[in-house]
Amino acid sequence: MELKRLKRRFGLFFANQLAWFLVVLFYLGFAAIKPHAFLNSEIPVFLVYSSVHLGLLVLAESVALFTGNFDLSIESQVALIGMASGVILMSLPKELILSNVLGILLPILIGFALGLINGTFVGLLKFNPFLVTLGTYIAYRGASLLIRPQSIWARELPPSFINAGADPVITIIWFAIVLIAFGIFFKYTRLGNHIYAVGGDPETCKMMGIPSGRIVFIAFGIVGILCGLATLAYAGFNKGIPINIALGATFPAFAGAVIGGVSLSGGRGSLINAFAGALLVGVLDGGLTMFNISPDARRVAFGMLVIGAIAIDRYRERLRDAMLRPV
Amino acid sequence: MLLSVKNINKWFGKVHALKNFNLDVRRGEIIGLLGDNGAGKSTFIKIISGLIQPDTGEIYWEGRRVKIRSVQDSRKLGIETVFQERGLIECFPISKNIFLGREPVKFRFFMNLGEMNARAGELLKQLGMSVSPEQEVRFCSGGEKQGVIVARAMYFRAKLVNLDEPTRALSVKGVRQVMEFVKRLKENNISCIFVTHNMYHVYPVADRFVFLHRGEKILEIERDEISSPEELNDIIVSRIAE
Repeated sequence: MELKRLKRRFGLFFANQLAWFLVVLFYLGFAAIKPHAFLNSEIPVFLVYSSVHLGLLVLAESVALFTGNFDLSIESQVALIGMASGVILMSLPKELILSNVLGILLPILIGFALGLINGTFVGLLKFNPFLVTLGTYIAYRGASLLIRPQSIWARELPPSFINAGADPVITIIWFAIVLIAFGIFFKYTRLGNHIYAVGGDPETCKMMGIPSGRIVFIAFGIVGILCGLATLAYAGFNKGIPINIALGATFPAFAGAVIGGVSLSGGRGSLINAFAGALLVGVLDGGLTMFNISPDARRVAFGMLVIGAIAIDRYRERLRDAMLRPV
Repeated sequence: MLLSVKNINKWFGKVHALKNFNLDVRRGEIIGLLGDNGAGKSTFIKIISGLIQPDTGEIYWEGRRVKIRSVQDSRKLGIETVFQERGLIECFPISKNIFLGREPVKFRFFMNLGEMNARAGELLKQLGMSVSPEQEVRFCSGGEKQGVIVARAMYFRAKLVNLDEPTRALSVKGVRQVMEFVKRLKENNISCIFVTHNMYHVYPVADRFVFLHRGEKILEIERDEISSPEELNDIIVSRIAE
């Protein structure tokens, strides 16, 4: 009896933390093939660092998924946030403290605003999330190119904008703080709980007096804030704002969220585990690069990973159900 | 008198769903609201729970005339309605479902999860349910799900609980469980309108029976006036024939 309970508890732990187990598994697998490249302290730090920008987009996508919706526009949000704040910041004196404060705040505020635009349509006006975010996916990218059709480099910008995401250790530290803060928000606050609840069953929420539309609206604002933070990470990683910033990042972000255990039908998932999904994408990407796999072949691998994410998700759900079902 | 409705009429297009309906509910009283599909039972429940408005008629709550324009309005009065197969978030644990939208907080923004689990555990025990408050609702049986909503009503001191076809799609055991819950409501002096088309499911617990037929109340009878469900059945059949 005691043994059985222990087995269930372990099974549940394994199912919930599946993404972390996969990260370790892949890493050890690569290390077994190429020990001198993987078994030193720099590589893990670099892999985590290079997963932060995608990681923030995984968190953003996860929040949209919690509400039972999704967001196709996150990569274009990053582009528009980058170019819009870049152009404003370029016009300011670089060394001024105010410019440097704005270097951090502006992307977050613009992101919040862009997210709320999605939230207005999806949450308040109840438009179909696929079409709304497909529309903003196209429009935000177009707007970013309208604002500035060429890249912006680090020397043209206030140092804070680039430095925030340039140093691996500093980036990892603030990312960890963001991750934990949002993790606590979603797990322990009423608003966080209501965001999950709306994803679980919007009709029931309405009956219980939870304003589903407004909650979705706010959740998309949070998605935008996370995209703003992702912009800082991308800019630091790339030492500037490349014209094709974050291009094609939406679907790896989806894959990461699903591998990390965020339910595609809403209402369930943890941000900390979602980051494990991002890390898995990062480890796979880094590993394949180190083995000199061509970019085209890596694309094939990523496509497979998106499908694989669903297989992983299904396996986890089955295991979870088996462990949770009362005997 | 807890609730009085007077001369309620409701049309859906040309369909007269509720005709001059009158009903009084006393405190702690269990009403068995009977009738076939389309008789107007659900229409009445929707009116007093604020989902739809009556075309004419008056509603009195504890002697005061009230308008119930939304589910929140009815909940504020102390009316808790359990709709068919709804009102619960399947992927949430029982405790979070009981407190949904009214979570106890600490430090202003944070849910008091410990308190939620403890209170939920007490309520479930009081209802004679042996499930963990942390169990996800999707693993609950149909009867247990009804219990979760009854627990919610008890905790928030509802004065009237409407059960809309609570025994539909339930096993024999589930039906017995729901009857137990209704008895607990009565013990707590909570009134209950128990809607069903199966009088055997409500006969053992109801104090009064109301039968609706095509939007009209054709029978209202106290429990003391009849001696068996068969007798009730005979009376209903003769009334319909009239």
